[in-house]
Amino acid sequence: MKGFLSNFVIPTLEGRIFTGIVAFVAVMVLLGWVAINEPARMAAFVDQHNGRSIERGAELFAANCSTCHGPNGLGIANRAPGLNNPMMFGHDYMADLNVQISAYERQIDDLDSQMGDLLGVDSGDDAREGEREALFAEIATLDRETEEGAARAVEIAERIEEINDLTDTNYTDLEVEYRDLVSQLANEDLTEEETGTIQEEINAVLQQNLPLHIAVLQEQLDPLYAQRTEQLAALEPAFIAGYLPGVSEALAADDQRLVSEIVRDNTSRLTQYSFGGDLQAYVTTTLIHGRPGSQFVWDGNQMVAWSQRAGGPLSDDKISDIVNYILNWDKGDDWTLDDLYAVAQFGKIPADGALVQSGEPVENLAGDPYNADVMAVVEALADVTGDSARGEQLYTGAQLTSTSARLGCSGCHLGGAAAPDTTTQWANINSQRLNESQFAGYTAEQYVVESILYPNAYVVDGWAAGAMPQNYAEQLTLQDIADIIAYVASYGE
Amino acid sequence: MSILPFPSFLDDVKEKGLRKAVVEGVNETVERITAGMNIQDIREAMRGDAPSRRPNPRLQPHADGFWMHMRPGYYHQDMTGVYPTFRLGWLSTYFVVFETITGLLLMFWYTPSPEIAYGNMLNILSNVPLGQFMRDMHRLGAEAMVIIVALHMMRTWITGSYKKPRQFTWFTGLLLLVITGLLSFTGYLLPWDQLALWAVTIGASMAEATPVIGEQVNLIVRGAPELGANGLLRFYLLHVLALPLFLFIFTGVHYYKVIIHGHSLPPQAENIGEDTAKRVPLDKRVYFIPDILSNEILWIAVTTLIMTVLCIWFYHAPLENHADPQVTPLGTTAPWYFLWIQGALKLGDKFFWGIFFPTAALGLLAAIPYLDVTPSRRYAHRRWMLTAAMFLVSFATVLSYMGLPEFAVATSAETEILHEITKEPAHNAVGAARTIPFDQAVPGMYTTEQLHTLEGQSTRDAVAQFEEEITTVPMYASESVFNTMVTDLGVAHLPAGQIPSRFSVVPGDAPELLAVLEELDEEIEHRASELPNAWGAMIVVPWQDNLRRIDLVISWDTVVIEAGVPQYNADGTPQYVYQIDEETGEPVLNELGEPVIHRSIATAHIYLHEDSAYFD
Repeated sequence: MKGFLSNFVIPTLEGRIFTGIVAFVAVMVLLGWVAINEPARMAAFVDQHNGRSIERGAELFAANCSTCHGPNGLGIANRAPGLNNPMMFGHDYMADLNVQISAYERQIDDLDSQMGDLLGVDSGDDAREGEREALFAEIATLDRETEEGAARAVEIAERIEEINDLTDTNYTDLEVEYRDLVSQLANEDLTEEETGTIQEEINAVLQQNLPLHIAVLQEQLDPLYAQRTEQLAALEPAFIAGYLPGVSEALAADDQRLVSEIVRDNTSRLTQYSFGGDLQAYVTTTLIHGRPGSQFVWDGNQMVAWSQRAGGPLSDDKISDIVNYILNWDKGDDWTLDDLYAVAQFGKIPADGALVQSGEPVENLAGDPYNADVMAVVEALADVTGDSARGEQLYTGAQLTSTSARLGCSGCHLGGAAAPDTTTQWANINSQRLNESQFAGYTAEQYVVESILYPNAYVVDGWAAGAMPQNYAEQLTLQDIADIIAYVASYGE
Repeated sequence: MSILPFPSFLDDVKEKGLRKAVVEGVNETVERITAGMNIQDIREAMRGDAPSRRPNPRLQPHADGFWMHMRPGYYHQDMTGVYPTFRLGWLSTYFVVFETITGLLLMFWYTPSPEIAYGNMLNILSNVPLGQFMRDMHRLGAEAMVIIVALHMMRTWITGSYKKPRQFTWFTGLLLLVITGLLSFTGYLLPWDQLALWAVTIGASMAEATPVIGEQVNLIVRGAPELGANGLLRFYLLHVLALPLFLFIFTGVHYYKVIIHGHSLPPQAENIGEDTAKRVPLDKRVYFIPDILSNEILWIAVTTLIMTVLCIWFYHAPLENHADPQVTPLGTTAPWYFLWIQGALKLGDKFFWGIFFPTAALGLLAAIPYLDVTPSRRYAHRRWMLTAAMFLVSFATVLSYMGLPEFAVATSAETEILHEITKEPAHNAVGAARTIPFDQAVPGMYTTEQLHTLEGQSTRDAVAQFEEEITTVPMYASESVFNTMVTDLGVAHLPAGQIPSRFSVVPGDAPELLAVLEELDEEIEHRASELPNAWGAMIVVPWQDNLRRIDLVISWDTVVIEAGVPQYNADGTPQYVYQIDEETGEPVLNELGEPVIHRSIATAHIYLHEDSAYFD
């Protein structure tokens, strides 16, 4: 054996020590070099991972979401809102204008409430139109002969004077002064100092009379309103898809303050929905939990929970891939009007839907005067005509009952999936059940009412007891049950 | 006078003066730490001088120190070379330490839960300085350790060092090899990516074949019928606690045995039947301190440097997509060191090849010292054992090759081609379509026919001719192939409205796009017997501002394929599948009265983001 095979690779001790030290130092230098480059590498990794996440999200979106939200995320009319949507990302096409308008409106409101504060009421209008008229009315009825009446009259006179002072609209002189100062401002030869002085004088004039100040502001606001109306016309093609709901009506009524409110509340989906977090949280939480109740807004289409955590099919990593993909539609400031027009459907406000109940209490069958009594219900039914078409809607859950409940009758009964078949039920009741001794004296109607209110009173052979919910008395009104019976009976005719 | 029962340092200072007291104090401390060598002794050792005092202080640490007592005081001169040990045992030991340190560091950022494990990986890669480097080192170290431990075993086998009295050393070594494999295997699962989940699923499913208790074993290891939260926790605890414990214990036993028996000399260096490892003549002694020690530190310093360089420039630990129990990736394999079992499984019975064969192989290995009891360690006298060793290596290599998905797994040609071109990054490979730089993924519809121009024909004309053929000639039932393709793509969620209406020639400034088209064409040609008369197409569609969708299409004349092999008629022509009229059940005939061949279409697609950087 020769060379390194039979002896140390490096024969001398100092050679080994030296090489070892060099290797060690080299490792340390390399580590340092890697460490210096780490921030850049980590940033690159974040970009890369985000890119790949978006790619996976695109695939998941196509497979799971595009059926309702459209292949390009533009939404489908009356089915699901567009996500590839400037409103979703809160893009404001009239941003500058809206800022100016709301600044003026705020200023006017401030002055108005300032006036109100001074008078101890909500606003200047309240004082001028409300309180003053009331005081005039009161003073006319006072008996000034009495001590109390006289004192009150003085009190009222003082108060009216106070109101008149503050809400004095007789400001012609001041206005002339103001216009004069404004016209001086137009002079181009003014120095900066002179401009400042004139501005101060203007402010002093305006401060002398609140109504004048408000009128001046309103005068400056009006052209902005006109400008906004013009700009809104450009957005109009999107209104039909649900953009800025109600703005057309408000414009038609020339209610500019209402327009401001609609624009403020509906330009961004987050504001419209009053969501407290950011868009990523909004999309994530919607994906995880779905939108329980969205079927009432979207024609029976419900956004179901998608996360495995909430009983859906997707794991968390997939949820975040989809979120990344959806957020990648954001164009920042580069949204164009065409992007807006392309959206097929905008988000709706849940409160728009049928969930809103009328304030009046609804008489269900559990309460007076029926108290869930079969005979009482049957007797009352004699005076009610059932609508089989509505009955079918209730039966299939396409429509809510009068108590806003959604029934699932068809789920089990239709086709006899897990309960007696809808189509043969009525015939079977008449031909078989009523011939049985225990139902002697029953009418078919009575049989059905009993079966709905007390499902376990009698269970047809071959079906399980307890499968049918037992709270229909609370869910139905007399009209509801009449409609359902009419529907079921329609198969027997 | 000190109140202590021994003289204090202050007394020393009073007696000897400050300087001397300090020097002596330090000297004494050094001597205690080194268990016997003072500063002067260390200085002499590092200079390579002979020790100046007797008894030799360089032997003292071996007698009194904990760490050095595990190493012999001197080696036989014949054992200092690379041959016969190749330092594999030392390197194996080093990797135990190396893996422990890098593993401990990684543990700071890891939680064994399917919910967050993958997120932890992303965090290590995106938010932990040197995190990627540490992960690469740990992973590469694990692979290296398996190789080195296996080589260490082969070396021992070849030099016959397992012979009496070292039979038990060999046995513990074999245990350590198995533990190393298991450690590497259990670590595989922890990143919770697709690679981890499926490699481990395949590996663990082998245990299922054990008779009687297979199902129970499987259930105990996985914690559930499928790998999930319990399985991950169990693998984690095995990986960081149970297996390392056994590893350390048996490393200790193994080391102890090496010390008491000494390193066996090269076979030719001693007489047959003799074991002179413990009787080293004075003139043949090479003392551990300083020569062997410096040599060993040199080896690990250089090994660390090599590992560092590899992990910076040449190797990154794989991280595939998040584990998804619903999606089995095409071409899944067990970890490479278990490929031989996967290959053996393709030979037949799951129990015989999956359980009995590996167990028997390990059993035979363990029994070698007790089977091969001939006294000679000389190579010339051990032809049978050397043959057996070579046979083992060859057999394992062949079996490992057979374990690859390329071997005897019948996947249809079009599926394989489409997968090959579109596959997500896995096993350090990625589908060519993903490597197209974003600016070269020019939206449009392209066909492989542009690569098959007739003589004198321009590419533009070739594409136009192809377009005419597939849009106008009804080739598929009554529908044109083009319309069928559009329908199929619609099923794959590519809206018809987004498909370009015309085919175009790949623009000249998109060479990478052209390269992928060429690869598609090449692959199709390569499988022409299964895909006769085929063409391929690529459709690039803008999807989001920084995202494009690329669809790949293959269309071919359908032939009868059985078990992956296309069937031929007696006259050597392919057995085509003909179109059948759905209503009459009769074959569809063309104007010439010939049956019309059924045309098949397969598609696959990817999305390509500007920043996904597969081409880096």
